[in-house]
Amino acid sequence: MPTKGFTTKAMHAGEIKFHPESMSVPIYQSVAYPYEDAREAAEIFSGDKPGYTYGRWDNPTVDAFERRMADLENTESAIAAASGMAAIFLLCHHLLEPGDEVVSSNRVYGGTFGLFDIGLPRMGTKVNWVTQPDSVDAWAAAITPQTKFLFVETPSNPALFIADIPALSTLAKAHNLPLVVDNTIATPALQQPILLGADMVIHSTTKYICGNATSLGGIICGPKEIVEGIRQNGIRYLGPSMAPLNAWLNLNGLETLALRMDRHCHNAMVVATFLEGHDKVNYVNYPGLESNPYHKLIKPQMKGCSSLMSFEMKGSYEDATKFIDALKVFTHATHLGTNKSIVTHPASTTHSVLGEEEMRKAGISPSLIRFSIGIEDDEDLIADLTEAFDTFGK
Amino acid sequence: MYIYIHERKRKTNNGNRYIHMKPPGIDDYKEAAKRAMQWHSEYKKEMMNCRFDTIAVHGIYSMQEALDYNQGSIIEPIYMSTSQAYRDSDEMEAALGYAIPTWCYSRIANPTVYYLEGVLALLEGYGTGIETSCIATSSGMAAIQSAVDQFLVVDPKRPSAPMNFVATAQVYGGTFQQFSMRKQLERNVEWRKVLNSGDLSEWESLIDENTRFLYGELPSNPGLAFFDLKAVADLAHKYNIPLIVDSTVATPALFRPIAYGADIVIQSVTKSLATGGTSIAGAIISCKNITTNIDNPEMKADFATYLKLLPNRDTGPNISPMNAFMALNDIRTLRMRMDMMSRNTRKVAEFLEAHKHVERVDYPGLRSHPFHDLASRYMVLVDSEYDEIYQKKVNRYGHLMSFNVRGGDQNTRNVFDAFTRIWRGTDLGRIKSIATIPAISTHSQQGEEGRKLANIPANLIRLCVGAEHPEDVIRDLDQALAVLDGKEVNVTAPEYSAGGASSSLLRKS
Repeated sequence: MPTKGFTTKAMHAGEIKFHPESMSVPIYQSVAYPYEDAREAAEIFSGDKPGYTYGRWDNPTVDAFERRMADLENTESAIAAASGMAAIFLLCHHLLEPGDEVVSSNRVYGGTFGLFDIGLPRMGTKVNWVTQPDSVDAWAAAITPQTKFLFVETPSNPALFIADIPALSTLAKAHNLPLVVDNTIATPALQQPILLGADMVIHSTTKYICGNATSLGGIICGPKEIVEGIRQNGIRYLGPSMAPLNAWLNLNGLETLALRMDRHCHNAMVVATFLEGHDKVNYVNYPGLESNPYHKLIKPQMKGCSSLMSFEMKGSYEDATKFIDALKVFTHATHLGTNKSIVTHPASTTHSVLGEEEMRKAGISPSLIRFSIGIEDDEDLIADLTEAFDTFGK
Repeated sequence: MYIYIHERKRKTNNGNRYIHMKPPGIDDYKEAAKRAMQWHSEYKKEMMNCRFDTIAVHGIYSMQEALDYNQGSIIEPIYMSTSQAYRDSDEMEAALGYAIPTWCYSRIANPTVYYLEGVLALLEGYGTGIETSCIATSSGMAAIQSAVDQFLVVDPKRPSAPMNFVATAQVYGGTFQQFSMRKQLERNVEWRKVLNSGDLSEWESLIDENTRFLYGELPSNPGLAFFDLKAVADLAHKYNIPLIVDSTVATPALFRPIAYGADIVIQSVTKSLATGGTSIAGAIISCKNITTNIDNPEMKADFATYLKLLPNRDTGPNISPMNAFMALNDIRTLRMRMDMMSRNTRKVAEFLEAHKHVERVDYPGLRSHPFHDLASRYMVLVDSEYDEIYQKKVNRYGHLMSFNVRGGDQNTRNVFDAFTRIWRGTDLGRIKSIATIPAISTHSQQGEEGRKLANIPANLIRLCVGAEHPEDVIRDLDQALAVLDGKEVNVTAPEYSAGGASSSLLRKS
């Protein structure tokens, strides 16, 4: 049978035959699953027979989501978790023992940074940060005999660093280490890291995959041996499982993922181009723009640049907050990757604990603004932005 | 803590669009938060003066909260949303700095989850006057993992110093594996097992300067072992370490460990608290100012809140709002259910104890049980003295029991396979009776040696008796045990369910 297209797979892959059959995957909001007899219970528990035992580590609805994600990310298996952070934690917990290390780009989401920086040392493990992640040599220099895997978030949130996945894959293979890619911002609709040489993929499915900001979720896609190891030895005893309703909402999100990502990319390009041409804007950071240093990496790796971007307004901290408060279509929230456009002001919120000096080092100026562009009509977004800029006088 | 600003400065303008007349400003938000916190803390105090059933039914969800923020909905709404939006950058800044009540992002907090946490904290602290806080988690195992990990941190001043903890060997199979594999084998944290939990000197002999906490399951699953909680709590505090108690089997309706000195309580909310069997859920409830030798003032002051705002936001074992909601709904009837199911279980246990094919029955409610006297000191139906049926304190021992079938493991399997009313499943706490053979399921992974330590032979059946009429449960047990007298079991199954679902048998052709 010929390989099916992404959108078809996003709607059908990994479906189990449910009884009775229904158009959508049923929500199995059940904790336990009865057995025919003692022999079946023993066989299912020992893994000799497929079947469900207990909802903490297996549930038919969650299973359908896992199978579909594995298919879309071109891996043998996948395991879902309560959140993206739970997925990263489970992976670290599984692959690292005391004394072991992970090598990671320092351009990662703040939560991941916190887990690596504070959480890992508490477990007797540590991270070696790659502070120049554009350079493969910098990655090579960070690898030690204790390194157990390489971790990269690409595109990264919020810096929009883009990694050269094939180059990192070559390096990882030379050291016989797995390369793990956090593919949250791109989603498999735009970027498929396994086909570029990565070994495992991680997601916060809370973002674009779910799409409507209803439910938290995370997933680890990878080789069966590791994924099933995390199921049997990780999630089963550590317990950060995904709820069936959340899996169902994420499955529903997948059905329209490709369509939505097209729209997100289109709208983001329209907004980025508008901002780049606006006289009240100093610069725009969006890899889709030709002016962006990472633009050349896009074509071989990604079908589109997703919809996260940041830009610096001309003016002060107060000007930025005044601009944000004047926006009406954009929602002011610390979230991203959802159908609705979101605006965030890092200097007053996500990064407010840093001093001015530290903020500058992290590339965050007082008038930097982050957008996660949604799938609204692009004219309405531009009109909203125009009106907000006009509050400063035409 | 996660509630809303009471004051609003809004006015309609241009049709249906709402705008601020004047942005409140960050100080106004903080002031409003202060007033709100005051109001909510007074309301909580009012609830603390109510009886157990009233708290279970209402929790911290007030009529005022319903009218002001939730369209008057008498039931807590499900906030199936990842995140919270803010009025302006001032409010966002105040919220993200935790200067005002916020739920910000559902990995950290969520209103529906907050209502669940509020009711669980009140119920575990019931009758003690002790202020408690709670964090709900995606499962009971996630609760255990996040609670114990905070005490198993590497000391940066002595990075190679050994670590250990002292815990009863008789624990749930999942806990057994988490402790033996995830902690001991993979992280070099020694699990010092208490084999006879009733022996206080054994507990004490295992403690040294590298011990981080004491842990016990009370009563244990499936063995129903018990220990003298008050004495063990005093022992922990003598060595400046906390006592963590998994009280899943008892639930706060029968027993509240914090009243006897436990620092932290674990609940697999999945079980009797959320008896409907719809959702996996867990919770950690702690008292203020726990005892610990870890130098972390924030953690010591308010363990559950610290866990919620800091470590767990990095590791992410958050509960889904839907699961929290379903647990909330079940908790409302906790006391009456635990009373009824405990009474049913005692009848079933008495029947089994007298049966010729049963070698032994473990249920602390039976006078013959070695822990009967000890359990009777602790396991009392809450508020029974105010109940017009009882008018005095009555003992209730929960609905989990286990029994051993005579004649070895094949006989045990034959009896198990013959159940028609009792569900074969690896679960407990359900409103439906459910049974398992732990040696081949829940406790299979810990191996023969591990099962011996935890006292789980192959002929043990764990039975959690539900809310059916006990005579029907007994009838099912009676006919299943009759298999050992040579009764034939004839299983027939139709091809279609009455509801229209087709059998998988049809697909095989």
